[in-house]
Amino acid sequence: MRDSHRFRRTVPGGEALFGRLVAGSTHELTNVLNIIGELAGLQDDILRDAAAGDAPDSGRLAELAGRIHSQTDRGQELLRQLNRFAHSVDRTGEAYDVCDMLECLVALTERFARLTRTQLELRPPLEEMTLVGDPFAMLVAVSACLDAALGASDAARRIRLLAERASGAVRITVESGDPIPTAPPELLEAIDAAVGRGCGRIVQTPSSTDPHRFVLELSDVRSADVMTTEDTHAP
Amino acid sequence: MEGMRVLFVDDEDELVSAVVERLGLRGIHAVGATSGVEALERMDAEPFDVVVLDVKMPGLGGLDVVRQMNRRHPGMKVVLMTGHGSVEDSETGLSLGALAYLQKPVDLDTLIDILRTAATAT
Repeated sequence: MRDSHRFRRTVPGGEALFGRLVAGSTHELTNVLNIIGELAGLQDDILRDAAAGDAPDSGRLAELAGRIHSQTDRGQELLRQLNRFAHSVDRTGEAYDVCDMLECLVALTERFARLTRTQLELRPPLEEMTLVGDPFAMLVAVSACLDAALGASDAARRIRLLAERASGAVRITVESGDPIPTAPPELLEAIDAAVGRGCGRIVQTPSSTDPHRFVLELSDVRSADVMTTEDTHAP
Repeated sequence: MEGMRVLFVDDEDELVSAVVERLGLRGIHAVGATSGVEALERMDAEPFDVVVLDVKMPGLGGLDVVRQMNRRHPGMKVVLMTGHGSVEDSETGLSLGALAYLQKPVDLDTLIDILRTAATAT
């Protein structure tokens, strides 16, 4: 973390999100290491049995090695996402790709969704939408919406995140297949404070007329206009 | 303990398959399940000496499984394991009758020692 950001203003709810995602990720990494340990132990067992008589089954050992590699890939991807999340706090005022950050949030929230047997999906297919603002504050706001949706996950067990360009801003929708209870004032305040730090606003919260979605809108700090891929590459 | 029958339950299927195979190589008849519901179905279908249960699983968690086991299969020996050290969960698990509460990763030889102790516990 760069020194200039060591004393950045805190984002309400930011510490809680950090703790939750780091705890979840380390639990997941424990599982990964546990599996690697057991698969390596199984290889040892096979080699030990072979030492006592038969030649080891090279095909079986290779199959186990492949499974170990799959787990190291899984662990590395989790660490990559955790690292991106950690560095989001020191990117205030820099350009960031909204979908890239949302992908990171979805990856780190996957464990919590799995525990409630909820399918978490990021839509549309990743498309670069660059903003200058506060990516960490954006993540705190979206995560609060996701938590509310996960807490209400019931029969449908499906939550989708949509990011789309809308009137010069980036609109983020958290949409649940199950109705989300009307958000309590303290949750709305927390989302509002975080999304405000991320240079945005709450457009819609779950209500009796539409209990299925939160909609947030983020603008570029430099202007009300969004700097898109086309903008950045325009001559 | 030759011929010991163990049900190993964890939602990580790679972990289940590796541990089940390793226990099998040590002469323990081990069967795997990757959810609480599947674990209860297995217990209904065949007898086990000890059940090893992960606490945090999607849907029916380990503690929920123990509660249902106590009704459906009273006296079944249970060992709980977890990736996180929640004192509250461990106290609840032990109060429900679990014989041990293990923190992951669990060394296989340690697990076998605990399984042997649990299987012979009265």
